[in-house]
Amino acid sequence: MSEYLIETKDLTKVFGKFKAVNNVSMHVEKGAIYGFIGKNGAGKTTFMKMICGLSTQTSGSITLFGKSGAGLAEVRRKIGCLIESPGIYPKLNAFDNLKMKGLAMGCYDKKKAEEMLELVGLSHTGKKKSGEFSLGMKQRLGIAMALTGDPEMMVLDEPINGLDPQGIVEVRDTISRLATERGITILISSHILGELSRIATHYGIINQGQLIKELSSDALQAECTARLELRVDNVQIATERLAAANIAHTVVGPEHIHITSNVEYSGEINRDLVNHGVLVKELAVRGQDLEEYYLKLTGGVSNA
Amino acid sequence: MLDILRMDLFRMRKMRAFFVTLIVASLLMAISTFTEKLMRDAYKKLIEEDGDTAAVQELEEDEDAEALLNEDPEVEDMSKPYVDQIYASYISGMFPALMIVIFTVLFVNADHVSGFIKSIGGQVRHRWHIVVSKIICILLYTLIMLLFLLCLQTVLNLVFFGEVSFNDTGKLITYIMLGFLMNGAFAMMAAAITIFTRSNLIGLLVSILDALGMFNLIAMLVNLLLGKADIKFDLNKYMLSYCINQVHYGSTFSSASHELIVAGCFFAVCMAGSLFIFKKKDIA
Repeated sequence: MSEYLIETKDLTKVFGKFKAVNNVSMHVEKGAIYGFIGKNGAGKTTFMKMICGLSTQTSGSITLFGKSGAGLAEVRRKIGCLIESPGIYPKLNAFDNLKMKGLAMGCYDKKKAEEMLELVGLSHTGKKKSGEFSLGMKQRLGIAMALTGDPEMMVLDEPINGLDPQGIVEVRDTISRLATERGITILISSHILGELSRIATHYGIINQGQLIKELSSDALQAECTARLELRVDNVQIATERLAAANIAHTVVGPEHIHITSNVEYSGEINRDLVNHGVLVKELAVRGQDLEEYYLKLTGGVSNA
Repeated sequence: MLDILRMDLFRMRKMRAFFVTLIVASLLMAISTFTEKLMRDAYKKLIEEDGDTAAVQELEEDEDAEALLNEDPEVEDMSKPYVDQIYASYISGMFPALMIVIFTVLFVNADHVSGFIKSIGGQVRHRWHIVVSKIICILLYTLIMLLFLLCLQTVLNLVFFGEVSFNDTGKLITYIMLGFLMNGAFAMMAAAITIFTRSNLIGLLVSILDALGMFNLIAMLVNLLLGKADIKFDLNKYMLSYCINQVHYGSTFSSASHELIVAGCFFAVCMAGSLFIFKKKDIA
């Protein structure tokens, strides 16, 4: 069996002349929380639909739990999906929606359904129709439905989209708990990169249908190394001193310099510049966050 | 497959449309029975006013006349308010078929409209399970509708006429079986249209227009055009709604063989088409 729960090779989906997903080769390890990042229309949802079996690929292959082709139908039962909005019957209450999913999966158990509602914090909703739920409650019900059948993997498309800060925290905590307590592998897409960076262990960045980068959070951290940001009165003298000390730097403005090596010697750098008559107006150590990294990769405005 | 069927049966019970369509069909049946009572009362009054009661009595007792009444479905026996005859007259009126197709369209498309299909569509072993399960539920609903209306007719007869009598239970059973097959095929057609288009509006519009016989008018126009081209062909004979109208109380499996073949063909084509489309089309 493959070490990856999800492995795609040159996965492509074409709508007419438009390539929504273009030769995507993704690898999701067992136990990972894989953050899938991309702009609106980048192909995230289309890709996830293909993984969940809701849509068929134009070309390429999908391997799930080491199975591909005809074997996919069998292993897809191990995947819980929440694609776009939660797929629930608005006229039914939360319990009946869970019962429907349980019946369809052949695993309906009243006690388990109640436990599931407890897990996502909806046990108090009683006979209230799910159509009357807040967006956060609907998303949590969607997660509970995705959890029905004890999946080993969950595919969550924008599960925190449109939620208020409280809702975001609740859903984020639920996802983290699922991964840590139940060992569920999670493929999750989100617009809110800050939130994603708090839980993801791996990232895949998709742009215009193509997966442009796949990396672990450790690798991301290494790539987003801290830099020293300087604001000085005389850039020319400062750059001469930095070059003499063989310190990598970039002039980013009439008074601003970014130093990308020897960041740990910020005190010594500051003293040297001052000793050579350069007034250091500001000095700060800053790291690149996921959003900045994403923007640098895709070369666009933030619309992930 | 059985799991999906269990889910669909649970869903059917929870759907408001299930009860609403049954209630509407019941109300229409009550109105129809009441109208029947008024007609019978008027008929009796007319006869009494003419002072020709003896002739009526003679007609009722005449074996030949009774045979004629039983054989010719168009001739309704006014002597006694038989449950089976009034029931058959109501079922032939297409109102139940209308309710069945309305329920069918709403039931078939409910999982797409709500998005619930996304929760299960990828996890079923074979996509055709979803379609077949829905069709089984619709056929079950059709049977429930026909049997429920029969029970209701019995009660209505008791209420309006003060008596419950059946003319011919053998004919009634045959009629219910024929009605089930014809209406089942009609529901299958409505389901197929809905599965193809994924639209409640189109599904309902086409099915209701067909139930009301609008497509028979188009078929008549086609017949007219074909007639002008010296081609003798009656398209109506191959229209499902027309065939449903041709099945009367008193029809047998052999006398309604043409209608049954047409219904069977419609069912098979619509079922095959639905399975193919559902398998090939993206679920979401």
